[in-house]
Amino acid sequence: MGGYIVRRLLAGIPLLWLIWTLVFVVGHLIPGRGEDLYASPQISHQDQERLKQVYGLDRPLPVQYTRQLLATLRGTLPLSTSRGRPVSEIIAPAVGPTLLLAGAALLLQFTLGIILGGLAAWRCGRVLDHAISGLALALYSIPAFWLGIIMILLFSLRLAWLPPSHLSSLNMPTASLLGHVRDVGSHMVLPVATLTLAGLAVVIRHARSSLLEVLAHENLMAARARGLPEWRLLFRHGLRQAILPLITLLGLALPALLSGALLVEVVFSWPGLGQTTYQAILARDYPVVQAATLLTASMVVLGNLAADMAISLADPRARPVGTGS
Amino acid sequence: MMRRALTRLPGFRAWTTGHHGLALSLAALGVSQILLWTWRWEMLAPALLSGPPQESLAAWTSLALLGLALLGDRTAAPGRAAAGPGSWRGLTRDGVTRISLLASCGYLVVALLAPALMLQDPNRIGDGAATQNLPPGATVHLLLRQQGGTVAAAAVDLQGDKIRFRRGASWISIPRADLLGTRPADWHRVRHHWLGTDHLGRDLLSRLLAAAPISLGIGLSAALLAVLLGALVGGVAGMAGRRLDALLMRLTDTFLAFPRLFLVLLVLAVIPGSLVAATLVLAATGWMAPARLVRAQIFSLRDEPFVHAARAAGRGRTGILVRHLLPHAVAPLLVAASLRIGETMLVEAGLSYLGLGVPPPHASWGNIIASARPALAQAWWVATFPGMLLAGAVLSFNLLGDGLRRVLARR
Repeated sequence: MGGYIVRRLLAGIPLLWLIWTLVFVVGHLIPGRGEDLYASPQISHQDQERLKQVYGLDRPLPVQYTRQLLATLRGTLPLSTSRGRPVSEIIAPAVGPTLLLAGAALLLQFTLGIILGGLAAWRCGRVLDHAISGLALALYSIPAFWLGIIMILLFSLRLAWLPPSHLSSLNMPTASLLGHVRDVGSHMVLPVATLTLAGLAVVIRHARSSLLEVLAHENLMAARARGLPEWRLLFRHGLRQAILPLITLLGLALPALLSGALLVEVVFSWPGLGQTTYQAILARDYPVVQAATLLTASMVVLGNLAADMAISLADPRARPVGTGS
Repeated sequence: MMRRALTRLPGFRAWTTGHHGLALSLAALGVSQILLWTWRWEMLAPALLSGPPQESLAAWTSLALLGLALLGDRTAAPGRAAAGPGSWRGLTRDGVTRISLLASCGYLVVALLAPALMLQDPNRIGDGAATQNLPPGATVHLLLRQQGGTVAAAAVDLQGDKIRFRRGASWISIPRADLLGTRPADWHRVRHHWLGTDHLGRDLLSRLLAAAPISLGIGLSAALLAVLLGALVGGVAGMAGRRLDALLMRLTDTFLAFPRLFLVLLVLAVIPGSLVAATLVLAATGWMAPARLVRAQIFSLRDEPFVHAARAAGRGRTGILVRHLLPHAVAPLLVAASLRIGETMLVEAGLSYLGLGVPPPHASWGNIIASARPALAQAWWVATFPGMLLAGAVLSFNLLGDGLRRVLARR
């Protein structure tokens, strides 16, 4: 088992390297060229040349590639062009809020999605099923950022129930821990709800179809013949077998979740990775954009690896031959 | 004579042969186009020959639709066989799919006819507080002045030889002689804003119409390009040797590992935004799923006897791919494309919301929503309506794709 995990982790490395290369290529080979971003009419020609030397942009491309790759491996990221600080200092504080937002949304998506998908599978072909499937399709078609704006309109501006933006109140007195948690919690409600609804449809559809597939199996038919109540059949026996495709989905849903988080963060001024990336683009700060993109792609790779491992832990059949524990 | 003229009306023949739904839609199509021509004759007639491309397109589209309404009726032969399960006509049998097909076509038609349907210039900035953030259904009174120019007012009140009008919260009074002409019809115009105005006083309905061809056009063309690119990559990977296949599939995995929006932003951070750039970037980040689809299809087919026969007959690999294998992937690709349109439109709207997709002089549903930000509390309609239109378009394309898939699965 341990050997398998190590091998899967090693297999992720070439993918990470390809991701890094793609980001480098996009920055250097398409017209407009990342390096020209350092050029600005306010900077004299000599200073531009000096800047290029500082960032190593006067070298031939292969040299730049190797140097930057080695630097990334050593963990030294370039300086941010708009703020003059190391990129890591700008990115690091943004990771926490994004993980908080995306993690909470992911958790809610899967809980709600499995419940709704299960209900739809249970009442397959009936009114409830049609209603839930219709809801899923509608949610799938609604732009997440627009949903966020409508939520702000309704719950912050009209009803004034919840704060419209940011992670916490600015004018919080030095509150107790509990007060702080409550403050952040109330700021979280709208963004998390938006992000949850944005990705809910995929989980509902997936849960419904994999549960339906499982329910058609013979062992469940036998259980039904024994007279088990339908809900118990569904949520105890069915779900246990349908959990594997759902774990796979957990990994696959990550890119869409992070894309959605970017827009939701901008709408709600949430100080996360997406917001940082967006601000960096407006400031034409390419190193920050590059680092944030790399980071999110690595999150996706790691998430998929984690899902694979969870599957191999949950299901002995999914383990490759020869690694049996 | 009267009777013969009646049979020429669009929809008559379809109605008498029992195709009532078809008859009603043909009649609606014909009547709407005739109304459009009588209403916008001054705009459409010259546009047939010359004028801006969008207007010519609108005029010719309208003519084509009129022709379709008349010809479609002729082909409604009596007693045409009912559609069997799994045929293409099965698409119009399922209620939801039929509505989604109608809605998708409706969106496309409105997008093509947009220049003729717009009542006002979508980019005209209104005159001060009297025109800004007006709610849906508001009217603006325009007073034409003696020395030229107009004054916009929210309300006008005639008082003897003085005229009082309201701008914002305050009433202003000017002498009657300041205005053009003598009769009220000379100096008074009314402008209706059915969906209200935005924070610059631009008419929201006209902006939504102007945005339709851009949002739909980018969605359609980027989705189509993505599917073609995917077919190319998948086809090459399926037919080429193992090493090239492995390389292309690693590339696909790499692209799939990125959250799409981050990858798009990475590119748009270095190239300036334009309609073409947005389309190309969306296509370049959406080809992975179709590529996998085509590759899988080719893998399942490439040892079939007909492929061996083609090879024995001397066809090269490219020939086999293009003439024998890709045609089998057309149906699933069509489904993939129609499901991709909605997704692409959502990403485009997100990009435009961020201000990095469709650049400002053009309107897109996404950047109209973005323009609602400064006055969100005062003008809920600016953000609400474009989002509803967008969600409706995405929903109908998704439902259409679902319907297509069901029809193909039954085959």
